[in-house]
Amino acid sequence: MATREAGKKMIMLKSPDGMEFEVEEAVAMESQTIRKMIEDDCADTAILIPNINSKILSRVIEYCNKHVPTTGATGAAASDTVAPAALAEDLKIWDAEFIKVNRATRFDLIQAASYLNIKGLLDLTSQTTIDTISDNSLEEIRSFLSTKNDYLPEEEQTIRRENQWAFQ
Amino acid sequence: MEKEETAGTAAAAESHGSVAKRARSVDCGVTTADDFISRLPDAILGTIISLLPTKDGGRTPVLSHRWRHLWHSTPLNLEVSTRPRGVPTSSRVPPSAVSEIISKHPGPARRFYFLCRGAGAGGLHAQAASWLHSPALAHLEELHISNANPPLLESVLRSASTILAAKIDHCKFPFEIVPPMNFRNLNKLTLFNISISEEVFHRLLSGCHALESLYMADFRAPGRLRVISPTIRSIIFRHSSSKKVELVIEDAPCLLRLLLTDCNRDDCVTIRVIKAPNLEILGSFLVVVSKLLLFKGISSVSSTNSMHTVKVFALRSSGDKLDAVLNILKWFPCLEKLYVTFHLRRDKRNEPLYDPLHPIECLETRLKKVVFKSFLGIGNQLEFARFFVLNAKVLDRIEFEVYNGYSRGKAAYLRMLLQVKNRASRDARFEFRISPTEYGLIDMC
Repeated sequence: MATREAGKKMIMLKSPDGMEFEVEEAVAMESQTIRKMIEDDCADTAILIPNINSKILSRVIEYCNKHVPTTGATGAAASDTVAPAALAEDLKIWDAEFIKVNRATRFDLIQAASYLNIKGLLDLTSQTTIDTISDNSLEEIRSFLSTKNDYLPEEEQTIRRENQWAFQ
Repeated sequence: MEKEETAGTAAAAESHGSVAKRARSVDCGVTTADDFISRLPDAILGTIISLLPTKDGGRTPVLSHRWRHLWHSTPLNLEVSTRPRGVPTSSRVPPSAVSEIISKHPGPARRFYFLCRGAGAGGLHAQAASWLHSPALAHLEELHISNANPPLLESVLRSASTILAAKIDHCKFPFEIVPPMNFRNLNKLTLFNISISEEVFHRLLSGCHALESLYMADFRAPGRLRVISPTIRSIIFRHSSSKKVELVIEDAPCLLRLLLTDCNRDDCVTIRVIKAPNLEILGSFLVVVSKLLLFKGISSVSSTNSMHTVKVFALRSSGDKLDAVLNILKWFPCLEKLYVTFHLRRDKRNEPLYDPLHPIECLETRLKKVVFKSFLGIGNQLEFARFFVLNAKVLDRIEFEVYNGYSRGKAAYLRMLLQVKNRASRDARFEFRISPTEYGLIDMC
């Protein structure tokens, strides 16, 4: 097996606010979007990531660093560990800490995960939204999502009737 | 949300309700005027809806115009639950609501969950089959069925031929399955607390044409389980009862990992490997004596009937059992990684001693990595670990998972006790780290 040091190739990611982040290629390739750019040879020296500011991009990189399959610190590659449960538990605890951010950041992270196509991060960030929706009243959900109720009262009544089963 | 809403609640009451009171449980992040959700594409909102419990998903069209049609255009997550009268409503729907839902949703479906506790015979199996044949549940990806009686279970399984993943728990399989089941795409199968005959288990597996991952836990009347699968890569087997069970890997050319978990007695679970030419990862076995119930073909695995394919092996042992463990290591001449989880039971030493004149092959030429878990750094555990420091000649790395209270000073002290200076492999690196779970003790799979 090739060592991590030997196979290490670095890539530069640039945010629109001018910050540059040097990351390992393997870490960057956690993003399917970036992976595709690299595989299609569209990535020379630096990749500009539009729409994602440096604050969010640095969090995304932090996430990818932790989730890249061959983690240096724990030395346990996903393929050879005999304790997947313990490793998964470890990551879950880390994820729970990672997602303790304010609402605006969370939605920015959803957007970034969606654009960069990082499934794990998208699942993690969406889950918070899912938890909110499945725990709260419609008004609370609207408030959490900052969504305005743009229905006329009669309209809302009609739609409620159409989906009566969900309110029983 | 259901706690405050009943059918027919006036919309006006909803929108003019006491927002402040309700907002207590809403996330208290930075509030901005932005409509967060309007910045997200429909695809993400769709993902969110398809992951929501059924009723919560069904309520989203009422949120705003933006959400109006998303539920219909998102794969359905249908969670059905029978429950006795008087039990409060849940996010799942009762069987009586299913026909309305599937008449409104055009399909396809992401997931179908059916908890049928107390459902009785009651014709539910015919009904369930008709649901599964409706367009709403077309191309179903995930099936989870719980507490089903044999006819219902069979009916559901027969109607769910497109699934990618299935979980079946607390169910009784029929005594016979004829004709065989057919799952073209089923990749991941989880069986938990089921009763199934040897024959039906065999037929179930032979109906899975793409199965890669199989999780089996706590079968009720296990007996003998034969695995014949051209595609399977990973098996996790859990057996916490004291009933005897034999798992036979009869023919599994792609099998890479066979993990045992919660097999807490060394005399209940027999593993017989007949044909698994790629089995690399095996464990964890509880080592009490150096006679595991592990067979290769018809004979026990031994130094003359060794398993050359295994590269990673895991075991649980007290520190007293070094000789037993060393005898076991002779069965795996190509072993590269060894995981040892210590437990605290005191064992008597009654094993033949390790004979340095007959060295263990993997220690001489193969073993690159050893991980000690739940390492206390005292007495017999220390002696156990020291053996590997002093005798494993090609080690790259030894890892110790210690408890809280670890410090640099303690690590230095342990290095001295372990005689790191005199290590057999000059290149070996040592790592001490705190157990990743808060309980300290890690249960090895």
